[in-house]
Amino acid sequence: MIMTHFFQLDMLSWLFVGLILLGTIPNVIYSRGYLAHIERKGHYRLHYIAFVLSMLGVVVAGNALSFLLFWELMSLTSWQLILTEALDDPEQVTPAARFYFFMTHFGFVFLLLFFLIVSHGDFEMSFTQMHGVAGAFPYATLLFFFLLLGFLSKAGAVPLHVWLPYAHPAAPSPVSALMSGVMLKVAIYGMFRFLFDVLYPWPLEWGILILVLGALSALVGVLYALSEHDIKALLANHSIENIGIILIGFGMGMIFDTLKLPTLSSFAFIAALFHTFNHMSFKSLLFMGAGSVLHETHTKNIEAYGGLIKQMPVTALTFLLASISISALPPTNGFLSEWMIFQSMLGSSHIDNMSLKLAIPFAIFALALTGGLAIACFVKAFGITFLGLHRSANAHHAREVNGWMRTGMVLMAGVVVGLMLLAPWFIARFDAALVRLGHPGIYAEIFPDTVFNLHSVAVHGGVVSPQILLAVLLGVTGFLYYGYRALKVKERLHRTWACGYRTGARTQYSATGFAGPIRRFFDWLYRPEEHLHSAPHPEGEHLRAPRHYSVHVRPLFETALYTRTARLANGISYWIYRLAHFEQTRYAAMIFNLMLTVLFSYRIFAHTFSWATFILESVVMLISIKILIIGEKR
Amino acid sequence: MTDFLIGLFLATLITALFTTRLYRLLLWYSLNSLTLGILAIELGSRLDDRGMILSGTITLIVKAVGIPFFLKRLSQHLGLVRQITPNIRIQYAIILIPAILVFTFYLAEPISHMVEGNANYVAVSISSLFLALLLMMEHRNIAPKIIGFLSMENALFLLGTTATGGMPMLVELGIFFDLLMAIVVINLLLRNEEVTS
Amino acid sequence: MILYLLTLTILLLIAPLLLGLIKALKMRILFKRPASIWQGYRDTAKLLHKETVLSDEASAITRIGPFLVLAPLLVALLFLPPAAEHAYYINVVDAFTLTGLLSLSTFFLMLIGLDSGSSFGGIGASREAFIAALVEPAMVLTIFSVSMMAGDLGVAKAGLNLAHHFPTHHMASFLFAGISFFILLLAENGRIPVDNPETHLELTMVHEAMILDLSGIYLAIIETAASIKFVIFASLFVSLFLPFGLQFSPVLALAIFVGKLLLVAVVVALVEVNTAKLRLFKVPNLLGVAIVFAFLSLITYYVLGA
Repeated sequence: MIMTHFFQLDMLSWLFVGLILLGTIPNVIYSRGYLAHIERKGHYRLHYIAFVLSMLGVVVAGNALSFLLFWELMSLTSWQLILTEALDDPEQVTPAARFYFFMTHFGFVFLLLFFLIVSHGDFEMSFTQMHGVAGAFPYATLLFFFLLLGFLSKAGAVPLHVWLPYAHPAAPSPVSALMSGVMLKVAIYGMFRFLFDVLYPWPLEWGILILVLGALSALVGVLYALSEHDIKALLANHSIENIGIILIGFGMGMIFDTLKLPTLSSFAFIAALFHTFNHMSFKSLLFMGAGSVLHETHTKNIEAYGGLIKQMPVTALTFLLASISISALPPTNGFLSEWMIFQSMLGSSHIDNMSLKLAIPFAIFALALTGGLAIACFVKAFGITFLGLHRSANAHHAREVNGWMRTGMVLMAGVVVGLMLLAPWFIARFDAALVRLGHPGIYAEIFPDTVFNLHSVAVHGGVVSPQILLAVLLGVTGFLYYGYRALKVKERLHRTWACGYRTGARTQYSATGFAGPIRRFFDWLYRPEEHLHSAPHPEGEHLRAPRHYSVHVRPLFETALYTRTARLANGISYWIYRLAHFEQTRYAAMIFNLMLTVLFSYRIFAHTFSWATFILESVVMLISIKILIIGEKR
Repeated sequence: MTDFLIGLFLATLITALFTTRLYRLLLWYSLNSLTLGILAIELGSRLDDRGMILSGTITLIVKAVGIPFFLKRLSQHLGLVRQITPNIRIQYAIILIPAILVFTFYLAEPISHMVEGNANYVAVSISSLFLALLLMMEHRNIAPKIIGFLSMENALFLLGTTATGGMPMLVELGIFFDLLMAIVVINLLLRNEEVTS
Repeated sequence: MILYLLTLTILLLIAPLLLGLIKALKMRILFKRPASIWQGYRDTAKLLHKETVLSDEASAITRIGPFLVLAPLLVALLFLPPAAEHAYYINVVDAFTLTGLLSLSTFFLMLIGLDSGSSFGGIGASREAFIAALVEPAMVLTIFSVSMMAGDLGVAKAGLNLAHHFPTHHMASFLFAGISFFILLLAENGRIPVDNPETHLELTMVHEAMILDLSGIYLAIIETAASIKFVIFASLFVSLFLPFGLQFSPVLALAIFVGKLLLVAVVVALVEVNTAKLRLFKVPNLLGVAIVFAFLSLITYYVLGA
């Protein structure tokens, strides 16, 4: 058998190969240090290597067969990696892994359907050949939905995001870093690859759908991240937010492309790609930092940390860098890509379509609110974890992690800084990839004069120059600091002034308390369950016994969408079971109805479609269902 | 100038929607009427329409000063509840009000094509009509409901003056008489409510 | 260039004066004996002579943090719109970056609050995070609509453009943006409806709670940062929403500029006297007004072009 297009390597593939390598190399070093913590070393090593190779395989795959092969391999190996620590904590890890396994195969089914349709069953067809087949297929939107379900269930966009907050905390930290930082991006690669190569002319609605999904994911992700106590679940929720931001950029690109504004479209796509890279860098770094903290304190509960900056300075500083970057504060790389997305939204003033023009301010609102909440969330994550006093004995005994792990984190911090300083170089690569995908190159418009000034291509757009800004900020801070040093001020240490009270580990603000105001403001979304236990004191009612207060926030989507669906399915199957066993007449009637449905739907969808027959047939259906199945009211 | 006044009109109305105190609400209503009166006088002097100037002046005297003053006296006399919390929570209001505005602007777009000249005034007055309705809906107490009703009248007046280039004087006077009657009825109603409660 | 440096110096020097003026004016209106308007300078001078007392729990964040709070604000000061027509200005930074710099400063301030391990710092940081999160959307939407009216996203250029072509056709959306921005000015600088800068009562404080554990030069730096933040907002407000008087001769233009800044301070003082401090959970009502106006400004511009 000759594999004609088993692999292909174009600019887009190279880009994502680069992303995977950038994400993996520091991770390998970090893993080397983390390995002592893991019991099943052979299992871990084998699957780790297979996982990385399969991700590389996915992005260089040239036909459906190789793509699906590596995709499935990637899913299975990551599933096994989640199970690495299953023996230590079976109650938490095993269900999480099962959930992940289910969700990822849910997506896989749709990908398979997609490929079956666009390749006529010939899995060795190249992607460009598929374009012709897909163009001839009458229901392109169906293909689009298959693609969305397939890739977004992997990427973790609303409403298919529910597995992330379970799977990422369960996996060993280097694996969480790899999954969140790199594997989610492979799904983004899939979106780029197949939307551009196979389903190219996009209707307007697709772009709007992606924009709406992105805005929703961004908001939902950051809101649940704020209410989270488990540091890795917090970061996992932030992945949902960042995937949302990437999708906002992607959706804007699609909308502009449909509206024949190619320059703006390229700009938005570059912003999405840039944010993909940035998220890889800072999210990997954050997971590594969280992993180090977890490695030392043996708990994932953020309320048990505190004061770790004194023992773990390297971890703390790299975590701080990543926090600033993910909060989109200038001049970091996270800020640059979010800035580009905002700038592309500024281009919406050129759109003629009035309803779209009115909808985009809502997306701007969502993105801006997300930014504000992300700052709050990372002040919480960094402040509660690393600052203040030790909140538990575990935090007290923590020490700085070993050299391998430190090297891994510092290298990843180098990637973050590199993405900031070498932004023009990266943007040139993104531009080249988009040129290869048939978009106009706009590098010359983004950097018209020097590589230091990043211009927006929107008409009233702005300018930002990360390198100059960084230099000025560092310069001013350094000037102030050395000015202070030069004054030789006497310094004295004293205990914290708390208006006459003693401060202690238990009187500090907790993570729950920190997010309190925001939780109260969004309680219509969170619907938190609050528990306050106070037992009467044995020695008299005026004395207070210890009180215990806890808040739990249940993910709304999970209860609304998944649990209820499960309950509904359960109900229906019980009903059918009862019908089949006890009420044979109705059962027969149901089969009759089913046959009617099949015949009618054949007529409607495959033969001729007219609204009149459709309505007529649905009326007939309703009557027969009413009479034959539901029956008269007793 | 007209743009500025009409913006101020909408701004005062929206601020009234977020108000939680009765006297502040009266203040915003009075400012709302004030901008309306000035707007009518300004338009009238530009169109050289003495009827409009007159009705603008009456608006200034009656609605910007008279009615708020009267209502304040009345509420002091009757001891009405001065804390009026909107029923719609702020989280929803932040989304709802822009949505209403977007929706009405969108709806009014074809209408405003029919009107020559000051097309967008129609859109603003229709949206302020809806906002005044919202003001009536979001309160349980009687006093803010009255203010909502009066703001609706303001919005109608704005629609009349801007869209048609000045309502006939007679219609305007008729509306004023209606208003007067309404105030009398409200007065009776409030006293009645006080007796029953 | 000289004019640019002169403006910078004036802004730096006038910053404590504005806050002092607000305080003095408030006291005067309330029939108290007013504090001197130069009190801000005296406080700074006093603090500069003191030794630094650090908390036992303080980490590197407290030692470096105050500089990182001040530095972004000083950098932001460099990119403000010019006060006179032919003055030099730098247009390599746009409005988003400017708000980003302000957020960066707030970010470190919140970390300082959490660093000392006292519950006051936590209260302050938590509240500040809440307010900042709600300020952000209003800010971004306002920026969008102003930059569209001004025809440039760079603040310096936008200020000049507005001075040249005052948007008479867009008065309505301009007004809405102005209202929204003024509320943001109050909220971001911790003025009265949102935060009371004068009390030290844990029920009300936001900004003061975060810096409770700082002393000496560190405290002076943070206080300077607060006054500079106010001056940044005030000067943005006057250049974007009161853009007149730039065309006169440089000296007169500068005088008008300073006069407008003082006017903003007077207005803020009047607002403070006439409103009560809002409960923390009522603050969203005020910020909600800002968000709605920002939205309104953008859609009025889009749909009606007014």
